[in-house]
Amino acid sequence: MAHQPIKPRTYVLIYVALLLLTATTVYVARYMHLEKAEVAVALGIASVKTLLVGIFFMHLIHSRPLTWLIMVVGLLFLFALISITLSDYWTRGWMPVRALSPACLWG
Amino acid sequence: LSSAATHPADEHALVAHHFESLEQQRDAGALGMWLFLASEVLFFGGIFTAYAMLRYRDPAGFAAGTDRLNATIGGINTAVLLTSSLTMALAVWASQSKNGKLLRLFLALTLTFGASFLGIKAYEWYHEYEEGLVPGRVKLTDPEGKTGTGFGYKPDGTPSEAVEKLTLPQRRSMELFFVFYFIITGLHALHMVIGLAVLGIQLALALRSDFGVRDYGPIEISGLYWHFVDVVWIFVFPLLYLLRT
Repeated sequence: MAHQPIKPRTYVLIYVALLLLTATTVYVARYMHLEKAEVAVALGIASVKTLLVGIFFMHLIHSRPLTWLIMVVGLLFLFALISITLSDYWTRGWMPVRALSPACLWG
Repeated sequence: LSSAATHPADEHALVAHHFESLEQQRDAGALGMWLFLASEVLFFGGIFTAYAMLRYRDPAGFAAGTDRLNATIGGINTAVLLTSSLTMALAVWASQSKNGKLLRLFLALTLTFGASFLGIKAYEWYHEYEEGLVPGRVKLTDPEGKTGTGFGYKPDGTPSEAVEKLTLPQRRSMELFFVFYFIITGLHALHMVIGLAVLGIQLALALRSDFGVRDYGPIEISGLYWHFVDVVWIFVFPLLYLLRT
C-alpha cells in the first residue's frame, strides 16, 4: 500500500516504551504483591506491548482492512479456544484433580 | 538478479505474471504471512490454554517452578529480543528507503541479537539441566534411595536441593511446570532458529545482489514473522518467569 514509511525515530520511541513496559511488569511482579490481580496486570501489560509491536513494527497502522480482519479473526478464535476450554474445565468439577493419587503417576 | 532491476522501468520484471503490480504482489505476500501468523496464534494459544488450566489447578507447585527461573536473566533476554525487533523494523525501513548499506547493517544486527537471545536461553537450559529440573521418570539406583535419574536428580544422580524438600504432589506439579517450560521455550527457540535462517539467507542475498533494495516485499514479510516471534515471548516472559499466583 502506498504510504510514507514509519520514521526511525518512531521505531526508537516504541522500542523505549517496550523496554519501560518490560521493566514495569518485572517491578510489579517482584515488589507489588498484587495477589489475584497479578495475572490481569501482567497480561494487560503484555497486551499493550503486543499492540505497540503490531501497530508500529508490523505496520498495522498502514495496513488494509483485510489485514486487520485476519488479525481480529485470529484473536476471536484464540478467545473461543481459551474461553470455551476453560469454562468447560471450571464448571464441570474437573478442576481439582488432586483426588488422583500422585503415587500412581510418580516413581 | 541484475542490478538494473532497481530502475522503475524494470519494475515489471519483478512482478509475477498473476499480479498486476508490484504493490499488489507485496500486499498479497504480506497478507499470506498474516494468515500464517493467525494460525500460529492458535498453535501457541493452545499450549498457553493448557498451561493456564493446569496452573490454576495447582498454583503453589507452578510458583515453585517459577521460583527456580531467573527473572533477571529472563528480563535481559526480553530486552535483547525487543532490540532485535527494533533493528528488524529498521531493516524494513532501510529496505523501503532503498538503502542497501543500512539494510545489510540492520539485518546483521538483528541476526546478532537473535543469536544472543538463543545463547542466553541455552545458558539457562544448561543451568536447569545441572539443577536436575529436566522432566522425566525417576529411577533409583541404590536401595537407600539416595541417587536417581530424572526430575529432581542432578546429572551425577544426587537429589536436587530445589526439589528435595517438596512433598510428592508439589514435586508433580513443579515437574509439570517444567514440562511446559521446556515445550514453550523450546518451540519459541525453534521459531527463532527458523527466523535466523530466513534472515541469514536474506542477508547473504543482499550482500551479493540488490536483493531487498529493488523490492522491500521479502524483507517486510520476514519482519512480520520476526515481530510475531517477539510477541510470543512478550507473553512467555510474564507467564513463566514472573507470575506467582
